[in-house]
Amino acid sequence: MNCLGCAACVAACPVAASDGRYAGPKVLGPALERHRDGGWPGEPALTPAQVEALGARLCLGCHRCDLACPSGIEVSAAVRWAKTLAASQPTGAWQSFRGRLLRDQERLGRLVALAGGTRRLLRRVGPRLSRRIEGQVAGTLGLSPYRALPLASGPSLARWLARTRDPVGERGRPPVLLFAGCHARFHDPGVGRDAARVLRAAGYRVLLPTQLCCGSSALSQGDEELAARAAEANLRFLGLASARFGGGVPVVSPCPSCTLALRDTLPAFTGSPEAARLAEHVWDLGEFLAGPAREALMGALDRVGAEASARPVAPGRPWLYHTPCHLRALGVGRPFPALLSALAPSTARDAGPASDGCCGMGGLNGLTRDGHAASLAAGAPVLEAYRTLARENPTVFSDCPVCRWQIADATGLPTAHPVERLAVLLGGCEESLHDH
Amino acid sequence: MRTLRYDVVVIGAGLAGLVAAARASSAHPVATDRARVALLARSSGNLNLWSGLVGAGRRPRSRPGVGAIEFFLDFTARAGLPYAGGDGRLELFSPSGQPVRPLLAPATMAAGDRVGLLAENRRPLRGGSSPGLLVTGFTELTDYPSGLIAATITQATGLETEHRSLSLGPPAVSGLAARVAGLFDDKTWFRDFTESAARVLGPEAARTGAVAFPPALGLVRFSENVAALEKALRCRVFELPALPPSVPGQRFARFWRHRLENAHGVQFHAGQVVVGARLEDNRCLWVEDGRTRYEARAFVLATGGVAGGGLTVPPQAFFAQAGVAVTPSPQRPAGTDTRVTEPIFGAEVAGEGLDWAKWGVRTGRDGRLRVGGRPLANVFVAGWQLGAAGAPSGSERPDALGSIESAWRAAGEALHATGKGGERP
Repeated sequence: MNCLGCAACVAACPVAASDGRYAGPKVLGPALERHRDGGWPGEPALTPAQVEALGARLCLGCHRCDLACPSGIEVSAAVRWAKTLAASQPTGAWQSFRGRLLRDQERLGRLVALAGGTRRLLRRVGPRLSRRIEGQVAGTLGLSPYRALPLASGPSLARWLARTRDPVGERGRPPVLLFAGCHARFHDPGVGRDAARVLRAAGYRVLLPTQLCCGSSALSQGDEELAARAAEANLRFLGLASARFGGGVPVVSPCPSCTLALRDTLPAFTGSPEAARLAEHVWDLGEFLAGPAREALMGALDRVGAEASARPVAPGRPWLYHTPCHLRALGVGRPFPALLSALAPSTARDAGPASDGCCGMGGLNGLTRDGHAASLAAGAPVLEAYRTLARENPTVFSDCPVCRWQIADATGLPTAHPVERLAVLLGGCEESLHDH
Repeated sequence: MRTLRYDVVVIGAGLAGLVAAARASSAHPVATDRARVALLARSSGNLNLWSGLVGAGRRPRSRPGVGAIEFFLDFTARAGLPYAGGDGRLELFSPSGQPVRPLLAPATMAAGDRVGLLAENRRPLRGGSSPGLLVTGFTELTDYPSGLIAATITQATGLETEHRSLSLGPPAVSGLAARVAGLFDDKTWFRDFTESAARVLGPEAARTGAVAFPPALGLVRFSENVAALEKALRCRVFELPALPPSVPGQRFARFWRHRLENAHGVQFHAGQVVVGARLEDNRCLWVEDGRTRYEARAFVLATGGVAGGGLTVPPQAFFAQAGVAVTPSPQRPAGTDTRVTEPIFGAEVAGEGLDWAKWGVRTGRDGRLRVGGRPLANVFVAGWQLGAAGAPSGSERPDALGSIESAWRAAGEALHATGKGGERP
């Protein structure tokens, strides 16, 4: 490693800036090099307790250190090593079950979906009682009682896609594989439905292949085994779905964390050539809509143009865009604000350079009982910048579900995925932009 | 491979890359629409190492230079990071307290102009004959030697100085300037700090009329903070430059990127290293990072010289032969070095004498890269990549002023190549 010790990574780290328990990316990354991979001759191996004491597990996995490093070191991968070591400490059975639930989005998502009916019923019977019970259950599972788990509305994504399919019309259209992500599959199918609507309007045939959680939360919580299994399964499912059309079908995801995992993190982590080949066809939804689908999308928007201005979702409503850290890490630019600005330039708002930081949520970290306060502290500068715009009450668009979650919780501003705005402009959307 | 199309692609996010992207994406009175600009960069550039001062002891040499300075001052003011100077009259201090004469300086530093400090009718600090200056440091900011700086200023300028060290108190922060600056962005904490600073420094500050702080008064709220401290201390307040890692450099990277993204629609493709390109008929058609191909009508090369790292090149490849597609290097494994240790542009361009070792590529007399004996029509070089060719005499690479000038010119030529304004090379 060519670490200069310049500390650009520390300056870019939202946790180092807000949490005195965290030793920072320079110490946990490059500085531990001599102890990694068996260690240099004569260097003692580190114990899990030692890296735990350096705060290894407080890393949010935002990848800002990677982008800051002038020597091109992937600092976050080195910090992940320390995290994995810290996570290897043996724990009790109950704690390990809880930990597993938190890093296995698939399991958590299924559980939340399973409880959906009961929760809906409870809310109808007694809203206050239901909130208290949900808080109790969440607390027992290690989740913060201050975070309300979302309650999915409308049909599941798979059911909706099957129901709204146009088997004749879509014949001959270029296919895309929608990698919806756990949030759209379990908690907020509206985003998945709108992604499909917009892709269809741009002339694509949208398929929802069998898929599991991308594995990014497992990796970020130091469970490499689970991440490897998820990567392998998704590789198989997506490969099969793509092979039906002769291979090379674009895989499009509305979630930047899923895209980053499929495209960068997991191929590097597993080292599998198939994963690297698949990665070539993985697109961020915004990148895809602003890239290959741009002309068709603009054409579709033009066709409904006259109608759109008469729609109840006023074009005059102010909005701004929050850039998720994982979208930055993908290096795809900010495709959605470019599209939205072209459609509604005068209503764009700017919360200033302070809002370019990390919201602090860090995947599941901010949802947990232990991580809630730290996540608000890490995101404080960004959240404060948005709060200053509260009087105008702009909609905060962000591709990342947990950024939206954090911003909605901490500022009270309405949030939405930018594809929801595009779906509204295209018409045929059954719900208005919603709060989280 | 994923393919994206732009008008201008700038490679590099240092000072030259940011200035080039700013000019290329500025609305031009003649062009009907703004050029679509992308910026590819491996990291946030090396602005972390830059004091923020521009062109110590130099003035722009030519008319384009004057245009570049006007453009720079205008853009950076709009970005919320105003700079002062441009007329060659600024007299400030270096990070060690020695006198320097930069052409431009951040407004928070320009207030510490020596001439102003000496000319102002202020009473001396300790009953001496010369005016005084209070140099403050922070106890927690251990690599900012305020005592030494104060002593040097006295010795070099005759200003009578005193130094004071303020404790930032809980929450305790480590000695990193960026973290101290982050603390100053917290409004509640800053209000308490202002009160205690007024208590500790108040009488002396009012007497000397000027207080110098380390350049760490906020990553974002620095202008407001300087104004608030001036009000509380009832005297002139300014920041001195400091050694890296530099908060003014970090502010610059942050504010310029924000403005470029939000007001100019520039797409930042961060974390990307260019590993290949396609040349045809002495034009570059695209560059690629191994995953995505970026097509453009013009390219600005601002990768900071061979050590800059925005380009990584297999030895046998990259621009080596016109018309020959380049084999992209395999995706680099995590954590490996990507610095170039081979000539970037093949023997012909780099020259027999290994000019690339002097930090940049060799260009023709027109400042252009040559392939097959002819200049590349749509690739323009800026900043450190120019090596000694763009440097003040005796240096091996351009200074900050040279980076601004060359980037402004390269972007103008790139715009001309796209037909969206600019000027003929």
